[in-house]
Amino acid sequence: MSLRRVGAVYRRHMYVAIRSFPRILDTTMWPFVDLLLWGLVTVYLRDQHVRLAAPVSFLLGGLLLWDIVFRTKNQVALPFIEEAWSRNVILVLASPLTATEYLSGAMLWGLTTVSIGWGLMAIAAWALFAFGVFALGPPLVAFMLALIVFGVALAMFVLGLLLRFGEEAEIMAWGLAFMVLPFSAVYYPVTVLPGWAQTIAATLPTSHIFGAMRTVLAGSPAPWEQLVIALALDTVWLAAGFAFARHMLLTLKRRGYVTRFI
Amino acid sequence: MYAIEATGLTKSFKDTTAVDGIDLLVEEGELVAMLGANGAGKTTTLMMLLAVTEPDAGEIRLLGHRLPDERVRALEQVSFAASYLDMPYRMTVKQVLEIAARIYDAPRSRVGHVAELFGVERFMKRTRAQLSSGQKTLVGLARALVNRPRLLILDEPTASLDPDVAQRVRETLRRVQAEEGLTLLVTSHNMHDVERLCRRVVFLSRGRIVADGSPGEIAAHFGSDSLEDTFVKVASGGEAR
Repeated sequence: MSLRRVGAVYRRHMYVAIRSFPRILDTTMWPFVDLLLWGLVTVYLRDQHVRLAAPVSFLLGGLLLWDIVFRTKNQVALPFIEEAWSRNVILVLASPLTATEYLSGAMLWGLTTVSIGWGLMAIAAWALFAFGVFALGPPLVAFMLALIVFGVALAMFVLGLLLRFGEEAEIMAWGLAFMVLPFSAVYYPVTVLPGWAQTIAATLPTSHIFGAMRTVLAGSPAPWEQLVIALALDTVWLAAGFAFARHMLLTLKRRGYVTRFI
Repeated sequence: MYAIEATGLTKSFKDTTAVDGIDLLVEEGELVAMLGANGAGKTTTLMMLLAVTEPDAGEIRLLGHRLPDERVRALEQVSFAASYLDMPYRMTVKQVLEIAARIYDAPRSRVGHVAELFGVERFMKRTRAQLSSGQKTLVGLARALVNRPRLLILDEPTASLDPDVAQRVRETLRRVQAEEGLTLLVTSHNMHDVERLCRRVVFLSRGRIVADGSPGEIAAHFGSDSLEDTFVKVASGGEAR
């Protein structure tokens, strides 16, 4: 693997992003609007003295951590979507870049934007709603790691779909995270779900992480065993995501689907 | 040494055979045009030569490197430009050339050199939206030469250029070829381009090579007065004399 080529991919997408006002908004403004919306809901609930089984901080914690999955998936997949928009896919495939180098560069850039957006969100949550996400303590690092890995795994499925169906798969690129959202038990415990949905939830690392997050926010010790399960599931999802994207790349080459990007 | 060694190249899409057992040998330093009507198999052949599409059968070696096993080593010395590719959104011309230089490990001094070669140094700070389609084509050509390739593959390189600019591009390509021993494989619908630029023409029809020789030989082969007449003849299913 050539680090120079990885760096070239990183720079290529950085150049695009820093000159694009919509992209800057996407990185900074929308996470902030999301946070404002949910933050105001929690303030309203608190002011109404609504009797809730769960603290309202669960909502903000869920929002902040779910945003990691959502943004990682989007930002890691976006560079390839950008190549398709720019009719540049053939140039990438006909260059000496390997799939690993391209994905590494795209992933590093995607994670850079996730870090910027998420950092701003965390600061805003603390400044506006006195919600310090770092109150989650050391488990926060494990939560974030597990969620980033799952976001990358989802991005690989998106990439595979784009390689297979071309730009028309873009709608799936944006919507895939919402398909796993109900099963991830972000804002409610898994027990709320019907039995069949709980079975699906058990296979997602996110359901274990958000369960663990609520435990920690409720003041109990971190359920490390849930984090271990989440990381193990992450490994499976990530391997499946990479295998799917690789299979779709080989299918594109074998069946000549590249004409979809001309 | 051969820049391109392709033997028995075959590619089918569902019921259509796009490329049907092509054998193509191109020596280093040759200037070769690949001609054929729409659907003759030119772009599919180019995509296979660039390791973008996998052949159903056949073997490809570029500059001695076998595809797809030695894809990276081969493609480090190969470049490609086409009229249907575009510049990335929001990147300046300079940035596009710099990124290409990084991907191909070319010295940064090449950026200024190729920009000057194709006359794009005047708009290095412009982005895609601020360039005409002809200017974008010139940027694509400059990008393709940034790594000093040994093999340059061009698909319709002068499609969107004014005649005078197309003439300058042809002259530049010939000069680079003479100075650096570049091998050029080009497809074009512009017979004028081909006659002025290439010493060898490969005619494709329905996925097969139907003629291979100098423009004069090809015309004589089909009993035509010019390459343009030959093109029309082959495209309408005419036979060799």
